[in-house]
Amino acid sequence: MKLKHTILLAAAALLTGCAKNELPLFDEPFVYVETSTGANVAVVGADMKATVTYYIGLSCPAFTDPIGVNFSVTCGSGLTEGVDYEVVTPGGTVTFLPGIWRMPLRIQWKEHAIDESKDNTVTIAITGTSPGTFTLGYPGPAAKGSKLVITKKNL
Amino acid sequence: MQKNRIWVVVAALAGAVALSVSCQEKEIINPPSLTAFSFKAADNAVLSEDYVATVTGTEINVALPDVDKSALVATFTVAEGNIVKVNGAVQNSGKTVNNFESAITYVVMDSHEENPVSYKVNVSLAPDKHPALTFFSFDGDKNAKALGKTLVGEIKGSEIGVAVPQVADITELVATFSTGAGNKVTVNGVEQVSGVTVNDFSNPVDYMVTNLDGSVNAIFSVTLNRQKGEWTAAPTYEAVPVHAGARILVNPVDDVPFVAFKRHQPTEADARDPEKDEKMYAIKFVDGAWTSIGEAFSDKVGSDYDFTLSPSGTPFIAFKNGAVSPQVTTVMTYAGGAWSTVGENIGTAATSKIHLHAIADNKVVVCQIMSNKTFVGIWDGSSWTTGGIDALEGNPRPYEIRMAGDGANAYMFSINRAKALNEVNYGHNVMKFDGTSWSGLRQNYLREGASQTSIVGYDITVAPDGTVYLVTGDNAENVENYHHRVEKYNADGTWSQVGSTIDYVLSSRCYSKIAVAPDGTVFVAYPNETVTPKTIEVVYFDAATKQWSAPASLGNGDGVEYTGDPNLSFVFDSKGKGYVTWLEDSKLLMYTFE
Repeated sequence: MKLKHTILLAAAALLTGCAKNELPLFDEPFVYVETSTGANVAVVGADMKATVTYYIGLSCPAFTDPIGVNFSVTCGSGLTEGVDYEVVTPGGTVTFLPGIWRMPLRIQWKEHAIDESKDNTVTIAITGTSPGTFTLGYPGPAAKGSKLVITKKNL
Repeated sequence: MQKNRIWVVVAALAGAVALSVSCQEKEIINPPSLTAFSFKAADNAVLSEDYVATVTGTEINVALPDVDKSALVATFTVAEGNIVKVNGAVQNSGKTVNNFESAITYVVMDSHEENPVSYKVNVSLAPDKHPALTFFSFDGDKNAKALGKTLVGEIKGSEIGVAVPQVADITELVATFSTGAGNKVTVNGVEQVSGVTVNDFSNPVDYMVTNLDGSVNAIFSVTLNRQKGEWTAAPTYEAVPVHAGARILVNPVDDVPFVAFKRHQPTEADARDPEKDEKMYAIKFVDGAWTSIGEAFSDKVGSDYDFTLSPSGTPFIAFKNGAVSPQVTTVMTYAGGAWSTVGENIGTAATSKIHLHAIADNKVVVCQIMSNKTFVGIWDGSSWTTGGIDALEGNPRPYEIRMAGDGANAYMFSINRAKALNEVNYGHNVMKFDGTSWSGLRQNYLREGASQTSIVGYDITVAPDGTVYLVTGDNAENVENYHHRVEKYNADGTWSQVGSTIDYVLSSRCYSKIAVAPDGTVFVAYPNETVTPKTIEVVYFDAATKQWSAPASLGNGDGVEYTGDPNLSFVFDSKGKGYVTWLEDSKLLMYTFE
């Protein structure tokens, strides 16, 4: 997280110094979702029977009041919740208390054969924050990290 | 004129005397007043920073962290001339030691020790600035039915891993934990009591630690990892300095582990032994100790060497011969208590990346790089046949070679140089030699979506049932990171992946090893460069969850952190005992798995 702050500040400083180029300045607080290794895409085996932890993270100055982050978990036509997976983290909202910058979000994968011709993805998407002052995903047009797409495959 | 001067002097003296008398009469006596109070880190070793009190009337309030307060030095400011006492003892700011475990009273008096004013010093607990779980376990006596023994968690940052037996019931466990004074610990909003509260650990459990005033929180995720066995440190071999490339193998006949290695030449000139340095040694591990089975029995070894055991337990070594020019490959074997040469001049130009496998005592295969091509030598018990591999399309320039095999086949894994063939970036090959001819199981292969086959994190092995397993690294699923991917070659001629990719992100020195236990469990060992000190980690593929396990850390041996390539080696014996070796400071460290 500190690294992200540093990168953000460094980028802001660099962009400020290069104002003539009129590059956009991305220094707003944002929220993102990713795997434990920082990826926004992942693959799980169709035969996996385990719980995997993903993470929702904040990038913002220190705060004193709790921040809520709403998320959705949706799947493609090839998968069914309760059959192929279950969302372990309840409620569709994770709450960040002061001092916390990353919260776990868990999905329990269930062993179930899939039809390779269908959409076998599960998408975790950030849908909003409270207060609503956070950009969803990394600042920038790509909104990287606003969602995490996990594909279930026959490995 | 003279008289006038005298009168001026007399008048001045009289004035001075009068002034002096006047000053003595108007001595300033400051009323007692204490205006500032603090504990400075410079005066108190238990404090990491200064703590300043608030002085309100005669109440002095200061919040300190959870430290020993029985001998603290206070710094205070009083009016000039004031005298300060505690229990009758005169206090010197920044010097006098007092016990602040409970409230104490500072009595401030004027310079005549009169008009005393009592200031009460109240020391309270400061909110923990870094709330954390500092210890976590499942005590055996509180989890007698489920566990029967105490299991201590390993805390790594905000993750706590606990190794539990495969069959343990983890749905109702009582955790014992420690945190700083004043902190509150909750799980899903429910306050936790160490040694009392029961939780279901089937999924990871998040412990929220909140400091006294709620200003700082921290989350600790506890994950229980089913363990197949236990890794234990074995005696380190350091009788002879070991050079990079040491490899451990287990004699298939009697399960005795062997290691062959090149003696390392010390940097210090006076520590060198020209008669022995850079020559081959062999040792075996019997009854918990290392013993020699050959010392300096070869010519000087160049940059590359390898070691194999035939199905009958006959050792063979192949090495780049540093005593000849060009430095080509020599092969030696051990029989009748002595090492002897069975092959010389395997190659016509300098060789490198030398590996070998013995299908039988009279069927030894050497694969190596020569003149930027893959070059092979095959020993039939009496003579060598050398050349390229016809079945290897284009014989592209290799980057690296590995070999594995069993009593029926030898397998060569190689990574091609960048775009060495058909513009494929570091494609890789798996070639099979069945004792007679070569065939390709995979050639110039690059996973779809990957930038290249990683030039670290690769290895090949053959399971006891003859299945070929491959670990490689690629970034097919996440362009930013390379991960290990394990695949196996199926009887129907296809490759299939073993689980998802392994979580660990490959680093530039992640020289990994793959091994398969007799029960078919696949293990991967790799050096974790992201932790300090760097450590060796091992994961296995859990047949129950179809997921790679949490890594078991083999530590960093004796604390001498390895540098560069730790030269991992990994093998299982026929009964399922695993051996991992690596080098640190020219010493051979070993862990065993049972």
